Amino acid sequence: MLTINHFFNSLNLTKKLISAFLIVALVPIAIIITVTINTASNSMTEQVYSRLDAVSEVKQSAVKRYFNNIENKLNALQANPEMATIATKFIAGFNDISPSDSSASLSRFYKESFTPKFKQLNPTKQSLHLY
Amino acid sequence: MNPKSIELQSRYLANNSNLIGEKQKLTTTEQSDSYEQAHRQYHPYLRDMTNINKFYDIFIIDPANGNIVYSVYKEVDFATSLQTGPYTDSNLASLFQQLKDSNDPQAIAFADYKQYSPSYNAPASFIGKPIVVDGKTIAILAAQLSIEDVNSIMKERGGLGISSPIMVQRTERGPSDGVGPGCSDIVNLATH
Repeated sequence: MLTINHFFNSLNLTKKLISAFLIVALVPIAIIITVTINTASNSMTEQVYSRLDAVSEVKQSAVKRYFNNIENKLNALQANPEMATIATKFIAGFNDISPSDSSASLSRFYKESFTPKFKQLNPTKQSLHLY
Repeated sequence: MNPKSIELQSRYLANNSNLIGEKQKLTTTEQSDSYEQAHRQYHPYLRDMTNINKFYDIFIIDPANGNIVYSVYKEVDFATSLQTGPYTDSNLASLFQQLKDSNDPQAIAFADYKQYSPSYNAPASFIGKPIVVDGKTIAILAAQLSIEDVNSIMKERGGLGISSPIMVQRTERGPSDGVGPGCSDIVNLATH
């Protein structure tokens, strides 16, 4: 502080006046600039968020509509009085299956069809050991 | 896999001249047992229902043992058990667990999108309802949904610049992961 005082006293009057006026002019400008930038950035952020909110709501209702639609379709399928008969027949049929020796052709299917396609679509993953 | 799974997979997957992804085209095989008769009779109807409703697949599951007794598209989950088979960790298996003892025709379950290995690890979600006769669940009807439809909703980016990615996240769950009287509260989304 002392050295600043000392430095100021050593200036002549012209320089003293210039620096005083400069300080008087620059401080308010700096304050105004800071405030303006702040306000502008706040209002920009707000604008972006309100746009995102709008998109969010639109997407949310679209996806809800999609799932409600799916639910209705499944309800319609379940409501078909035939559905219980269909399910019963498939379950009974499954339980009545008498296995023949078909493991060779199935293991060929996994080796020649399933695994190559799985590897092609998932090059980095280890292939499944299913069968 | 148990011998019945092997037999059915070999009938409808291995000995099916249609390409992989088109196994639904086979309606009849050379067999004549009761499964073949049921398949011959009902497969065309269920296949049409899948296509009309734009489901990825439809399953009928036996609540007693988790056997997937029927699938339209017959991927490698077909004829396996969700209780003892290779896919007991899948989200379809969790859907089965939610519904197998429900005995309530109004019940509905949803299993959230997750990689599904029988579909070559494509993300899949499942929605299911029990088929209840005289107060008892006799079967579970489930549909597989691919992520494509939700993706296409998300891809429409009206009002946003092209550089903004949109994310969808499920933020609310119904009681025990979506079982409830309706699934209208199944998804709640946030995009930021």
